[in-house]
Amino acid sequence: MVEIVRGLNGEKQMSVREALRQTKIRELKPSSPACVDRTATLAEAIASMRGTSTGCVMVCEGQRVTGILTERDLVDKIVGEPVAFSSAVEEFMTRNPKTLTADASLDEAIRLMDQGDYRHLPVVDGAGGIEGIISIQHIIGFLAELFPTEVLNLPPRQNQYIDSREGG
Amino acid sequence: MICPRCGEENLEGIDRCSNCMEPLRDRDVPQPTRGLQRLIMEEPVSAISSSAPVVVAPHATVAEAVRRMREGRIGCVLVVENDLLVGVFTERDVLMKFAGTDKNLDESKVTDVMTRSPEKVETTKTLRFALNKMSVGGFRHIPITDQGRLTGIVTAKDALKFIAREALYKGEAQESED
Repeated sequence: MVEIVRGLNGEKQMSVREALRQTKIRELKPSSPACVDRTATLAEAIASMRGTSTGCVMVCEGQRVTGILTERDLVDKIVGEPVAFSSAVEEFMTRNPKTLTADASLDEAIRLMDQGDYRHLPVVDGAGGIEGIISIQHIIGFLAELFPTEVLNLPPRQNQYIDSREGG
Repeated sequence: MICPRCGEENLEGIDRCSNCMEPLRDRDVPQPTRGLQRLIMEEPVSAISSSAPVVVAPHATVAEAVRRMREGRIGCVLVVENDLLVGVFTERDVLMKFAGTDKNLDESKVTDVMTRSPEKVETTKTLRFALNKMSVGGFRHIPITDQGRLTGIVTAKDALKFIAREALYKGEAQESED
């Protein structure tokens, strides 16, 4: 985890942008993904998705990711529609999702998520084999921890004042 | 504290440089007071919220809630009764309670499956506060209230888009100007 250095003693201050560039995806500890084979049914994919905390399932051919099915697909295309749960998951998944490697930087992940409106990105090894998954929650967790608790105890600014006297 | 004028190394918190008498009092203040760090710590959560909340009544059917979720392009509907937020119903509830089952969505009421007393933030709280709540509770959506009255919703996507805009794209525009 990148330490934010504050400019108290003339040290270089690291910006949020720098922190995002220097943090690797592996430091966010990608979750282990739920995977089903590309021949799986929708019912199998949903059962597998329920076992995860990320709310998505990878559809794989061997180790290679060929598609992804997320909670959003359930809301948009499946639940409340006349869909047989014995249908093939391939009919509903998003094909060839954007992926990145564990050595990619966090700013790359944010860019991909922002531009594609994704909230999950599969993490793959050099050969394209699935290693993990990072979700928007990993990024929120990183941002929430970016500022150590000490910054909550900063002295007040001059434009912040208390209307009434302190004390009982 | 290194004196910016003469380079003398002074004790922390000293008022004037012991070598050249340069006033140091105003400089010796912790500095997350710039740029994005300041925004995250001071920007009210309502400033980054980008979508209007999607609201249903407690007696609405799950079918209606799912339809509203789809139309509103959002993963969470808020359940409001007499102007008060009483629950939330999210994509995760759809996954856990309805997907892959043969439950009839037209016969299920939102009030029976929603999460009651959801986490919320007051409209004046900072972005940092909302990020913390999302991170600790694992929420992707947090309703914003003003003295109990629902005024909006802030989502993980809002936070991501805010960071992308402020930390990545804006910085790049400045770098290419330099």
